[in-house]
Amino acid sequence: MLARQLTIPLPFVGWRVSALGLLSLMLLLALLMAVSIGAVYIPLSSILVGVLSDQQLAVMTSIRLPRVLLSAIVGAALAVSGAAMQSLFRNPLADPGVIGIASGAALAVAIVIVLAGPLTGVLALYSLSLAAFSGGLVTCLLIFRFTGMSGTFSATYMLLAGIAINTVSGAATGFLTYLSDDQQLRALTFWTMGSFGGALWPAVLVCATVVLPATLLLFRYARNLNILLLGDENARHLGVDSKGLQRRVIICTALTVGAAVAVSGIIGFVGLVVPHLIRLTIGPDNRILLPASALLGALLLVFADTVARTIVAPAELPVGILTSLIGGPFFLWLLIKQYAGRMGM
Amino acid sequence: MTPIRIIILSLAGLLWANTATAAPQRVVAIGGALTEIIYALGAQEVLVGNDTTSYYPPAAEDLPKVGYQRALSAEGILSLAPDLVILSDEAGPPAVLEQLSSAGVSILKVKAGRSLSDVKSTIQTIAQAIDTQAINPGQSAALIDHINAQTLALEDAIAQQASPKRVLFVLQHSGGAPMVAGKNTSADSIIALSGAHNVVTAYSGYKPLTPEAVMALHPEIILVTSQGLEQAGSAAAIFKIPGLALTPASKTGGVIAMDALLLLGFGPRTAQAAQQLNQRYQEF
Amino acid sequence: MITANKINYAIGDTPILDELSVALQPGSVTAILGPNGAGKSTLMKCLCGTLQPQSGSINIAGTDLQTYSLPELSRRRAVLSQSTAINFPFTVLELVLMGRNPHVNRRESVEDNQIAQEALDSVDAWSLKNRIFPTLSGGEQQRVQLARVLAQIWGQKQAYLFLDEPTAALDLKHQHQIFKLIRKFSRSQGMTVCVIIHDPHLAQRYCDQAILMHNGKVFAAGLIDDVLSPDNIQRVFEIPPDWLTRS
Repeated sequence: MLARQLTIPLPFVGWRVSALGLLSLMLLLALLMAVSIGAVYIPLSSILVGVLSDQQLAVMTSIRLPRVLLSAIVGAALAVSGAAMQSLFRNPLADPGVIGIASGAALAVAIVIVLAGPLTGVLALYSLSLAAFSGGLVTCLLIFRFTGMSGTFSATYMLLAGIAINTVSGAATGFLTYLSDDQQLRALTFWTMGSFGGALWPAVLVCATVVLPATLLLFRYARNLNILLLGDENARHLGVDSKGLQRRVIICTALTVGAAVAVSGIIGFVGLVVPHLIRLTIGPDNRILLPASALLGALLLVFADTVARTIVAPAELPVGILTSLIGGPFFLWLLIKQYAGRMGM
Repeated sequence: MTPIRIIILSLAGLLWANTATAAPQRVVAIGGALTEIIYALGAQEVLVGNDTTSYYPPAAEDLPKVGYQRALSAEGILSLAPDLVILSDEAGPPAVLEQLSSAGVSILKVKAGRSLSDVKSTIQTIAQAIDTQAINPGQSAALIDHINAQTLALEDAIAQQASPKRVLFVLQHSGGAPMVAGKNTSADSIIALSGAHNVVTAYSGYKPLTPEAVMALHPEIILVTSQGLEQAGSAAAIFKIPGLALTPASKTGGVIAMDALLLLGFGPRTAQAAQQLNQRYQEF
Repeated sequence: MITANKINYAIGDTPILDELSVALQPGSVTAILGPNGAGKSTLMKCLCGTLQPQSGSINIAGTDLQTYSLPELSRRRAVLSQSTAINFPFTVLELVLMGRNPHVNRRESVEDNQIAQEALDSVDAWSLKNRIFPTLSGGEQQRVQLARVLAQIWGQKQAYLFLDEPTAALDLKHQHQIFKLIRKFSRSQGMTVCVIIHDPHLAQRYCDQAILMHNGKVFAAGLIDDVLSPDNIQRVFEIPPDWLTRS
């Protein structure tokens, strides 16, 4: 029956694997660059040789290294969960922000800043992180309840529930902003803009212990996420328990985004832009898309944070502003391109 | 006060009474320092309202509040039927001020203070506008004399110091890099006034300071508002902010907290605040 | 062999399937016909396990459908239903390879790739294999989806194939080509094929059995020529008796 020549484009063809390798190499270079640049001058050569003054060593171990690592982890977490969300909703415009995880986290943080009394001890330092994390998780549980009530686990219901939750928590945060005094207002605003300025080793460890397992789990779901793109019913016909898969992916995403938002505040558009770039250049297969997004997301945030903390040194820009400045126009360009494509332009 | 000066002042008073309408009877003060000045002048009986930043002296808390000074609403103010609204150039939004004037309310706008001479001229302007001479004669002059005396004592203390302390003012910290006062801020002014040196000279205004720079600037004392300290939890929590742990201040536990209005308000207690700061620097 | 025994399915108080019993024979193509709202799609969804009837039982090869696990079922039973729009730039070949999912362990083997390409060739879409799926026309997409479904049970003996209006978007040439192909598979591999179809001519030409549905019940079932008698057509579809002869 098949007289024609066969070509074998397996999903893991050579050049795609090379692309992953290239991204890893670039990430490594970005990490090296990031640890050698900062307000305190530490030449790369002395880092590589390991000859540092006491002051340089202190800067390196207690400030710069945790910060660079944290930006890499958060970048990877945001990009991977963005990519997973997009497959889940079969919508390239989906983003952890869309289903309300980020705004739920922001509301919880606003509640702690404006309403909760001052906390003491370890709690004081981590109260905002804890709030952000639990806000994200509670939002997820709410969305579950809403979508569960409709009987079927439909992406449309989830998207609508996400919009409703975004609106309500946005309004509630707005109301708290209205109630807040000068001090609280500033705390709230700067938290929303996202920054890695607060990076400490405990934050790195906590974030890594949540993000790494959840990300690896998402990698395992990659093939079934591809199948899910055919539709819930078709995926079931192909042996994929769509409902269970969707639930597991949501939980993993909530965990990763919650952990990321908890340590860095809201950093927008990474989850949207990074998977798109990978799809455009390497392809949409989740088995490549997810790891490649993790690498590029880490690369992007390590780079962006290095810019954020050096460009106006000794002051620094909130990194969320930088990513949104780049991500916003990119998003618009994407919309215009899609529209043009649909109109045959 | 010499008889001649009394005559001149009374003439000035007459002139004021002639050119302006009668002294205002219902005054709304917007801004903590301005409210404080009116109390210090003993003219609080004309006050019918103030804003949320007016919390000193404690009696000021009991007056009706017209909201936050940067987000005023015209109707709230008009409902108090004021014949004079005193506010600083920080108050707004501008459209609301416009609405107030078109509703026929007189507005006295004074410069937000950054120095003791600003404070003294604001005291005089307010004293004149609400005619405190009629209510509490001589009080404005006495207040200014008091401030001058405090200033002299402060200058003496500073002159006897060896070298100025290196101070870092942390406005607040909410997870990211700490917000720190640069030049042209009221924190910068009060640090200078108290005979110390603000370590941040590279930029103006309040900006997040990158943690590495916090360390590199070697601050000996971390200055915070008590409100900011309360939000952080404790002085120990302040040193958990990245970079601060590596400063000289961390070794001596050098944190000084002071009420925001007292520290940054540039009102009648500013000379006193600077004196207090100067004394507390010696602890570290 | 698939049998449904007195199945009932209702949405709220409205019965969609009413005490319905059918049997699908291996090695034959069964057409499901009937006016809109007769319950054709619901019946098919029950038979392939997407919907669970509220009462009655469905057996596949003598075993209750409910006892099959999802992966077990997916290796022997393929379904072409109304498809979801795909917004991601998958190539045609990548999409057809998804059909191999039940047989893939970690990644597709060379054999899976070969099957995917043979399946594409069988629906006359081999030349599309490197095209981006969302950029194809409706008819091309339909053929590629069919290739994906065929790839799922390619080479399986005693497999089951359910098709919901498989040729709706296709031109005449491809309609006939696809039905020829389906009939060939059913004969050569003992495949049980069940297809929802609207065109009685196409059904008569390529199907062996027919189930004519009306208001959630079987109006007639059996050999295609017996079921699609002018009398039955006229009564179920409420059209003039000369319709069949005139066209």
